[in-house]
Amino acid sequence: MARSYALIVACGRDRPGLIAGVASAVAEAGGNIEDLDEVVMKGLFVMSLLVSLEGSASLEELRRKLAERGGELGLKVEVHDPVAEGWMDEGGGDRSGAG
Amino acid sequence: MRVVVTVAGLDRPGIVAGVTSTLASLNANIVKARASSLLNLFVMVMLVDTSQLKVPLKVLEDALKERCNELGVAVSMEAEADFVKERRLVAFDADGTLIDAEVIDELAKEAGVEEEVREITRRAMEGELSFEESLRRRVRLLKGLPLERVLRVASRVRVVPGAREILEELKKAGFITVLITGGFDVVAREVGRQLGFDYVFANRLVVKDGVLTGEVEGEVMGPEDKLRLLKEVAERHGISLEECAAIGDGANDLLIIRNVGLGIGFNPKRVVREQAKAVVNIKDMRAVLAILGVGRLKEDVKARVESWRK
Repeated sequence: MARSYALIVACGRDRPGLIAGVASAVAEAGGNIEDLDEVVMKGLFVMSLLVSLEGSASLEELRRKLAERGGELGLKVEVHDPVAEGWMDEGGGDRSGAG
Repeated sequence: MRVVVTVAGLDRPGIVAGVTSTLASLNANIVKARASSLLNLFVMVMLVDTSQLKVPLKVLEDALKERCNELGVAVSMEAEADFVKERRLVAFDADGTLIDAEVIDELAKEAGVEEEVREITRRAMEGELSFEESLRRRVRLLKGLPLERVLRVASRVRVVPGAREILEELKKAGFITVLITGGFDVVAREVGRQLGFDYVFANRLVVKDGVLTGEVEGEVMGPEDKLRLLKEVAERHGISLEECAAIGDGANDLLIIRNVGLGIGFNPKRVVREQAKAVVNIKDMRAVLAILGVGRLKEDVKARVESWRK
């Protein structure tokens, strides 16, 4: 089965446990975090994640899990499909960001 | 206070969740994090604020080591000020670290004294016997073993996965590389030559009439000597111990590991696991490369950490 991707952006008021909360929701949905960038700016938590989904893992399930977890954590979470948006080629495209 | 936590391992789901949940459970807050892949390993570097920590820093370090052991990933935790320091020299232990075997055990097999030697090795690695005493006792058991069979053992010794890559990358990055082992020159020199080490230090087995005499030439090189030799090499290149990293697995490496800027336990024995700043739980030297921060990811985080400190 083809590999698909999800680009996730999460933000809100910072406190310990936010990365753990989001990352565990991703893991529960069968997603694998390929790239992660997080920063705290004046107490504001901002995180972006590039997640790959393989096999039975679906974008819908990931969206559902993250909406639920985001609500619990007090985070706004956006989940984008970079291939459908035309930001990334099918199957991952340019991976020059890795490293 | 802030610390930098680096995690490296084979990519699979759950690493980020596993590591960050341990941090969160002790109220450590991740203020900056970056994760990506480096040499096909998943690497994550986190700048962690420990000012609201519920427990002493050592408890956090131990909890991280334990969790990363369960996850099968390498981990290091350094004070922010240490993390941004340049490392210029890396020292490796041989047996059990760079070499995927204890050569003395292999020689013991050849000599048919496997059981006796293994017991002495175990006690030495756990710190129950002094290194010198254990080495002399073990070599004595090898008396009469023909050199030819020693060389046969040397030729079948294998380096751990990633050993060639790490030496290549370190040399490219301008590091001085040192192989310092309480093991034997017959093997260490061959491995050192193959991998292109700048310096090799090892104990010499005495050979007379083509057989081992059961003696070690001159003084046995123990932990203090290893540290002294490392210091000498570092000084020759104008490098401080702070700027050195060292990788080892046993009690014999502890003195070096505690005295250099970054001590790394490689699939280490308990005493080393407890005291090394970094622990690599997988038999893959590329993880050490990630911990040492040879690669763009660490440079990226380091630049951010530095800009944030200003």
